Amino acid sequence: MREEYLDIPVEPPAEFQPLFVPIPREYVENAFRSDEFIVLVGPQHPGSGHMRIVVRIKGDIIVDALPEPGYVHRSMEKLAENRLYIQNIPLFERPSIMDSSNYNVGYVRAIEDALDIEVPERARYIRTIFCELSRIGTHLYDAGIFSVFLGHTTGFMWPFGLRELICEANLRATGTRVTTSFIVPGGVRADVDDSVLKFIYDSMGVIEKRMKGFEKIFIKNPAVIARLKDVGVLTKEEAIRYGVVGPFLRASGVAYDVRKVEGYDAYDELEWEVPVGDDGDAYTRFLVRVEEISQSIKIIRQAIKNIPRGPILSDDLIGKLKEKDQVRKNIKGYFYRIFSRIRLPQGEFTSQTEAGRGLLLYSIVSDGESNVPYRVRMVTPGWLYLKGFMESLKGSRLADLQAIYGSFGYFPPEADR
Amino acid sequence: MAVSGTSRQKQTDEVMELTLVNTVFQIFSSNMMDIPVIKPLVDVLMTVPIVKYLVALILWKPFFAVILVPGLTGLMLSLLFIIWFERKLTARIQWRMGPLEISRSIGGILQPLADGMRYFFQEIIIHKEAHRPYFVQFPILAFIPVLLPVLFIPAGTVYAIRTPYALPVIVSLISMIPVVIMAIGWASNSRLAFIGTVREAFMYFGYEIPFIIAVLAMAVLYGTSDLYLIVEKQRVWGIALNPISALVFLITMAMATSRLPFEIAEADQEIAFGPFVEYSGILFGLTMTLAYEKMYILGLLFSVLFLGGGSGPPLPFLGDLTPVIWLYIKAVIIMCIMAFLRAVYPRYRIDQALRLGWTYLAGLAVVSVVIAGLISAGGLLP
Amino acid sequence: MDENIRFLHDGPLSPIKRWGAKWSLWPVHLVTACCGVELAHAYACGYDGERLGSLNYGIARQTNLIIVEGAITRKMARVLKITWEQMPDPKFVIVMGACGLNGGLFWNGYNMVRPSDVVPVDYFIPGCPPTPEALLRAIRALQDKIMSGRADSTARFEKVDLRDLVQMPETPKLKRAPTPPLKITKAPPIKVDIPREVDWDGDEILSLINDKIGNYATGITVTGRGRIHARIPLERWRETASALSANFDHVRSVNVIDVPHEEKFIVEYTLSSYTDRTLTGVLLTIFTEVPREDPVIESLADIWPSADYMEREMYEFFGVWFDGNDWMGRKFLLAPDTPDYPLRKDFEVNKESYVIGRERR
Repeated sequence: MREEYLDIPVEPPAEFQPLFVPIPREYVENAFRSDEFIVLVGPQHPGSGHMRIVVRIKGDIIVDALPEPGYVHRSMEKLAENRLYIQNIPLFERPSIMDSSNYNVGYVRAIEDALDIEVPERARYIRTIFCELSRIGTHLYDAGIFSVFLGHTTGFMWPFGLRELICEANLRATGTRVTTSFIVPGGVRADVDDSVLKFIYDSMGVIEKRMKGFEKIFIKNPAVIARLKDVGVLTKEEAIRYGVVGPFLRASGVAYDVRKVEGYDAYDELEWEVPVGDDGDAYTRFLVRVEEISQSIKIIRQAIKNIPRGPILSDDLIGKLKEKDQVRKNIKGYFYRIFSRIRLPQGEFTSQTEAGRGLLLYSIVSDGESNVPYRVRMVTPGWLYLKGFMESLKGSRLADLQAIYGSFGYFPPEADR
Repeated sequence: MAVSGTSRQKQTDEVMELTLVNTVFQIFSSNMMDIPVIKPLVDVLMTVPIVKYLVALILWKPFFAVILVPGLTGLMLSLLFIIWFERKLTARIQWRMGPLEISRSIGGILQPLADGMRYFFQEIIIHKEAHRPYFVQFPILAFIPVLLPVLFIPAGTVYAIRTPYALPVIVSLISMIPVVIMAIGWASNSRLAFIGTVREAFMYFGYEIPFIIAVLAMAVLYGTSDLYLIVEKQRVWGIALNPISALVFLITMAMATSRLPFEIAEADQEIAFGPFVEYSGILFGLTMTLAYEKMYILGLLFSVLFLGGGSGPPLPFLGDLTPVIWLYIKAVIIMCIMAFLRAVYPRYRIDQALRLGWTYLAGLAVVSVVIAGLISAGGLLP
Repeated sequence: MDENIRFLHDGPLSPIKRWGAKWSLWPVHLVTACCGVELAHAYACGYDGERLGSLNYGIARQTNLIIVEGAITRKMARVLKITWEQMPDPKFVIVMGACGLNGGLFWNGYNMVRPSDVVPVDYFIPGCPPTPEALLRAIRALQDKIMSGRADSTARFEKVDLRDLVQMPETPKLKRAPTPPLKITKAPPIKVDIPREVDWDGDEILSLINDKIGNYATGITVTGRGRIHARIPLERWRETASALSANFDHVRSVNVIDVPHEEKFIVEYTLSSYTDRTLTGVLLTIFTEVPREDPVIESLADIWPSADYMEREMYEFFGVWFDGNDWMGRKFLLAPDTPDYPLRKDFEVNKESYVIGRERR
C-alpha cells in the first residue's frame, strides 16, 4: 500500500520546549505523519511516580515508550566518594527507604567481604528478620500503589494499614519507622529485645490473616483479573535478554534468587521456597510478590524460633576495646571509635543482594589508602528492570500503562538513586 | 370629561390587573400541596395580602416539584449527602474514619460544603489553547439536560408536566449529557481531554442502547410511557415483574454515571479526569457534580419505573408530601448502592466495558423486552 | 490577585472563603522523592489525613496544596515550578523532610535544588523522613494559618537563661576545630583485579572462560567468591563480548572508574547468566582502559540490550562515548542545567568542614 501524507511542517508541541523532553524533533514529526499521538505521562500525573514516560500511541495501542528518568537523581555515587564508609550506610538506603534493611545489608556485605569479617550468628538472624520485614513492607507498598493505579482505593488502604505493623516493629527495634540504618559492618547496631521479637512474630499472624481479606477484595476480584491477565507479557527469553530482575524475572519463569545463589545471612539455614510463575504477565508478576510475602512470613517465623543467643557485633571489629561486653550487646557510644577507622584493602569488591524488588549490586573500588571509597557503583533493581518495563509496554493499550507500571512496582527514587 | 375618562381608564386597568393576578392566583391555589401538618399556618398566611401569592406559588405543585423536591433543592441536598456518604462509606470499608474534624458532632457532613466553598472561591484558569467561550459555557449548559427531566417525573400527584411521551423525553434528555461532556472535552483542547472525550463517546455507544432497550421494555410492559400511569399500574413493583430489565438499568446507570468499574472516561490515574482535566475552580466543581446529578435523575427514573415511584405506606399528617418523600428516599437509596461500588471494584478497560455493553447487556436487554412482551400480551399485569 | 475580586479576599465573604480553604486542603499528586512513603502513610488508614478534610487528589488544576516530598532535583524543580504555576489561587506549599529544608543528607549533591528557591513555602517539616504525625501537624498548622493569617511555628520553646545552668567564663577559651576524619589520598594507585585467596571451587568456570576469551584477555583473575575479573585490550573489546554472549546473557552493571592521574578511564561490564546453571553464581567483570583524552568505546547494547540504559548513564556521568548507542550526546538522567560529567574526579563537590567557636586571627 502506498502511504501518502501532506508534507506539513510539524512543530513539536509547545510543552516540549520548557519541559526539556529529550526526544528528537524527527521523532515527533514521524509520529505526526504516521497518524500517531504522543502523550507525556508524568511526573505530575495521578498515574505515575517521579518520572516521565513518553508514550507514542496509535489509536489506543502503545507503539513506543521512552522513559525519562532522573527526576530523583540525588547524586549518591558521587557523594559516597566524599564520605566515610560508615557514613554511606544511611546514604545508600535512601533510594528505597521502605526497603532500607535490604539496602543496608547489600552495602555492608561488600565491606565485610573486603575486610573478611565474620558476622556473629545472632546478628545474622536479626539481619534476616529485618530484611524479610522490609521485603514484606516493600511488597505491601507496591500492592497498595498497584491497586490505586487500577482505581481500587480499598486495595491501597489495606496493605498500607498492614505496613503500619512493620513500621511499628522497626520503630521498636531500631528507633525509626522506615529508615532504619540498623545493619552495620560486623553485625547490627543493637540487640533486639525478646518482646520486640514476640511483637514481630504476632504481627506476622495478623498480616497473614488480613492478606486473606485482601485476596478476596483485590487479588481474586474479577475486574482485577480482567485488567491484568495477559497484559504486558514478558516471555522468559525477553526477560533474560532485557536483564529483568527479582520477582519480575521469576514471574517469567526463571528460578533465580540471590538469597539461594549466594546464601548470605541465615537464609541457608532456614527452609523456604522461591515462588516462580510461568506467564510473565502483569497478574503473575503481582501473584509472585504476594506469594513472596507468605514465604517471608515463613522465614521470619523460623528465624524468630531458632534465633540463638550471643553477641551482635563481630569481635573482628571490636578488637581490643576495653568495654567489650557492653559493645557486644549494643554499639551505642562506641560507634565512631569502631567504625571511623574502617579502611578497605585495594581492589574491587562486589556484593549482590536480593532486595524487595530484585537484585541489588554494590561494587566498591578502594585504593587501599583513603578511608572513603574511591568509587562506588550501585545498581538498583529499578534501574535494571526499567528496560524490560519499557519493552513490555509496547503493544498494550494506553489504559494498561498504569497496570504494567504497578505490576513492576517501579519506584523511581530507587532507579534514579 | 377628560378627568373622568382617565379615571375610568385607570379603574378598568386596575380591574384587569386584579383579574389577571387573580386568575394566576386561582391557578396556583387550585393546585396547591395539601400538607395537613402546616395547613393551619398556610391558612393564616393565605389571608395576608402579598404573602399569600408567594405561599401559593411555593405550594403550587409544578413549582414545588421542580424547584423544591424532587427538583433543584432535592438535587442539591442529595448531592451534598451522597458525596459525604460515599467518602464516609469507603472510609469505613477501608478501616478509617473519613471526613470528620470539620464537624465532629455530626460526622463531618459539612465536608462537601467546604469543598464546594473552596471551589467556589478558587481562581478559574482558562488556558491559552482552550476555546474560551465554550470552555466556560458548557459546564453551565450541562445543567439544562440534567434538570429538565425533573419536569416529567411524578411524585404522586406532584408533577410539573404530565404527558404520554414523558419516558421518551426523559431518555432523550439524558442522552444529551454525554454530548455536552464531549463538547467540554473539545473546548479543553488538551491531549488527555481528547483521549477522555473519545472514551466518553465510546462509552456512550456502549451503554446507551441497552439502556434505551431496557427502558423500552418497561414501557412495553406497562403499555404506556406516561410515568403517572406507570406508577399507578405498579401494584407489584416493576423490579419483581421484570428483574432483568432492572439489572440492565442498574449496570448501564453505573456506566452512564461513571461509577467505578466503568469510570473509564474520567479515569484519574490514567488520563487525569479526561475531559475535565483543564478545569479549575467552580467550573470543575460543576463538571465533577455532573455525574452525581445524572445519577440522581436516573435514580428517580429507576424508582418510578421499578420501585413504584412515590407509592409507599402513608405518612401521617403529610398529605401530598408523602409520595414526594418516598420517591426521594428511594432515589437516594439507589445512589447509595451506586456509591458502594467505589470501595469494591477497580476500573475496567474501555474495550472490556464495550464488550460487556454490546454483548451481555444488549442481550439481556432484548431478553427483558421479550419478558415484558410476554407479560403484557398474556395480560399478566396485576 | 485580580483587583476585581479583591472583595472576596478581605471583604465580608472572606470568612467563608477561608473556612472553605481551611477544610479542603487537597494536595496535588506530585511525588518528588522518598518522603512520599510517609505521605502515603499519612493518607492511608493508619493516620487518615482525610479526617482533616485533606484529600490526595488528581492534578494541579483541581487542587490547592503542594506537599513537596523531600529532595528536589534540578529536573524536578522545573516540574515543581510548572505545577505551582498551574494551580489556581489560593495555593499553599508544605515542604517535607530535611532535603527540602537545606539538602539534608544530599546537601552537597550536584543535582539538588532548595524548594524555597523555586516556590514560596508555607511550612517546613524537619525529619528524614518526617513521620505522618508531623505531616498532619503541618496541615493543622496551615489550617490555623489560613484562618488567622499568621504563620506561627508549631514548636513552642521555653526561654532558658543559659547563665543559670552553666557557669560561663567571661572570656571563653577558643577551641581548635577538629580535623575532619576524611583521609583522601591524592592520586592513589587504582587496580581493580587484585587476586584473592578464596575457598571457592571455580576451576571449571575458569577454564570455560579461558576457552572463550583466553585469546583476547590479558589477564583473568579471581577476586572473590564467584567474582572474576578479565582484563581486555580496547581493540579486542567487541570480539570478547561476542565470544561471551552465548554464555553470559545479561549485563548487571556498567561501571566507569575515573583515574585522572593515570590519564585513563577503566570501563567495566559486569556479566552474569540466568540460562547457564553453572554460571548463575558467577559475576564476570570484563574491563578495559580508555584514554581520558578521547574516551570512546564500542557500545555493547546491541549484544546485551540490558546494558543500554547504563551506557547512557555512564556517558552522562563521565562523558565516555559508547559508540553505537543511539542516545549518546543527549541527556537521559540529568537535567540540561546539571554540570557536565559530574562523576569525574576533577568535578569537586563541597566537603564538610568543622568549625567550632570563632576563627583565630
